[in-house]
Amino acid sequence: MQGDFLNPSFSHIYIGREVDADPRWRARAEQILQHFPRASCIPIEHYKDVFNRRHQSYPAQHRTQALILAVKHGSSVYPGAPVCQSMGNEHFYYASSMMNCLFDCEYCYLKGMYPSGNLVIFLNLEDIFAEVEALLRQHPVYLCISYDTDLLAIEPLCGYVKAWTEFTAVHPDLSIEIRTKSGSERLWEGLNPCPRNIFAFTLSPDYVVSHYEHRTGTLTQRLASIRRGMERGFTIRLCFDPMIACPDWRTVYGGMVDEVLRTIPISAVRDVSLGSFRLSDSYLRLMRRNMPDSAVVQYPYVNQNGVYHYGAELTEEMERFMLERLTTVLPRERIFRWESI
Amino acid sequence: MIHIFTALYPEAKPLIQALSLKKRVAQTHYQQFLSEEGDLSLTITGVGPMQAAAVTASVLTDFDAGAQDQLLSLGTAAALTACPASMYHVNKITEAVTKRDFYPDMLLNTGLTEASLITGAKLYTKQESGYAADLYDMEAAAVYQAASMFLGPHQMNFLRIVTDDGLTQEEMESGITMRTVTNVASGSEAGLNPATDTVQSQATAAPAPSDPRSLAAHVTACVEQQVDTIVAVVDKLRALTAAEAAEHHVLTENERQLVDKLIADAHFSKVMADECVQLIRYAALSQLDWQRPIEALYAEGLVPTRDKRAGKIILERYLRARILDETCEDTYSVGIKP
Repeated sequence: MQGDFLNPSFSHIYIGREVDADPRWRARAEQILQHFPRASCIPIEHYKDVFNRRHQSYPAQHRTQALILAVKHGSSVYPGAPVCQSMGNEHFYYASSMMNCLFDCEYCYLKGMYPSGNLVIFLNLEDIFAEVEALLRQHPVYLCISYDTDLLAIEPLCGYVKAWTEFTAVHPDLSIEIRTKSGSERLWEGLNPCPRNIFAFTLSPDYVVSHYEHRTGTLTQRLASIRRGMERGFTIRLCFDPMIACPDWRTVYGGMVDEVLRTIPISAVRDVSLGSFRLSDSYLRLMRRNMPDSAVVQYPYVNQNGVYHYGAELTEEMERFMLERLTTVLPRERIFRWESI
Repeated sequence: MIHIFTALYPEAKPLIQALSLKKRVAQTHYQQFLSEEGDLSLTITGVGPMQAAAVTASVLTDFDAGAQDQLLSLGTAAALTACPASMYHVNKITEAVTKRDFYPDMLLNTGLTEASLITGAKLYTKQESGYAADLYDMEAAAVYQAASMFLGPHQMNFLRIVTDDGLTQEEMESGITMRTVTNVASGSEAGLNPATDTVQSQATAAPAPSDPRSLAAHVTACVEQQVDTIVAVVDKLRALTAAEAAEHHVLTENERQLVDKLIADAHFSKVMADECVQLIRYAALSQLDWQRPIEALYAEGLVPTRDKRAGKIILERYLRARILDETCEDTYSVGIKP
């Protein structure tokens, strides 16, 4: 209803002063701006002048998302968070080349972590590459590059996934995970397969996609993308994480597994991750205040040691349900189940 | 609620008429007008950043403004650059003294051309230069900062109507001062009766700068030309406010009473009551039947409970389990009778 009198997303683009300091950053900004010829461009001193304002509304801003083009100083590569799945990797990091997402998943932790719903793109990608190379001089690195955003969702705009996959190809000790909920038909265009570039698709049943994962690809679209990628030799990971306890979840998730097994050759996926919804209590409290009409946010979760989850019984029941289905078609060692912290 | 602020009565006058606002006689510190529905206030702050900040903070405190309120700052401004449009939606506000920048969210599609604006504490003259903005006014940065204590940037919109491009040397020498403009603010010294006067459209006529009456007429004429657009913006803000309120009202009044009765009858503590409300809220949003399980608790004699301890069992073992379709354990088997 509000769409009639709200501006479209990216009708306003804030541009940090430092973008002009390097011709590579300026060129990247101009490449992005070409997609929005009618946007109102507003010069700013620093991205935090807009992103870190007081009393912002994440949901209101996300409905009419503004774009912020900026340069990041300091570290952009961080050790993996305790609530994230390392998939058995010892040197587990994640990189933040963007903040926030085009997609609008109601349960996403970004809604509790960031003060703003606007999308920030850091244009100094080369600085992040240099930081990763410094780590690679110490040890191999497993790097998740699509945690604080969905890079593939915005790939047509800025080509960061292509840049990352090319960077990985020439660094043998680097493996990257590109997490996505995209179902784009053109997802693989311009990308070359490499076993160390892992494309991790979050799969959710139609009920969850339609109710909680707005603007994302449908299950059918995601599976079609996966199938195309597998046919072209890309490395695929399936993430049944987070599982959401929607009404009649057994039927809903059982139906999803059936569709997955019908659509793709499951034995050809690299591995599978599995976990039910969990979230830091400080994030969820903020999200509940900001999103009073979101069922998935308002679920009566159990708070244990500062993390909200479904409670031991339901968590075990949901994850065991999925594990039992998957172990009939995949070796157990290729299934990574989330272990409580 | 929508809170409109203007610096001058002549700026507000066309809007007061268009929205059929009534003067709030109980408010004696500044002029304030309210809609009949009580969903809109319009307040005249007076000229300059100090008055603007003080009155904005006072009004937002008075109405206990919060997440479901919207602010519309409406005013006139001098053009610093070639400004082809008559009215602008401000996307960046700079405070002249501190050089601090403020960015109201540009969520609302007003259809207006956008502009940046700088707020100074004195009248702008053409001799000044070096301002990196399109417009100059004397209130916006102050209104933004004062309102930021109550509202977020997504709840603020600033519209500015261009009335001039600054004072000339001759106008300065002929005696136009802050006092002249301040006199325009109330309308009274200019001989205007806020309740009855109608100023004829004089937007195209040059104002007599040192004469408050002519200046007031010029300002009013400029606003009158934009009043339909401003009312359209107000309508959009009203719809936004209504949509925001609807998001918060998950339960009807009758449903809330049912939940309150259960909380009282089951002797829930504050924490248990919060858990119960959370459970019911989720159930309502997910279209789960939560009323029948409550009715069943009464029908089975499990509620009312004897005390809080029994209420805890009702909440955790029965209500949660039945609504969420989890395993329901028989509490009688563990020897605790509600």
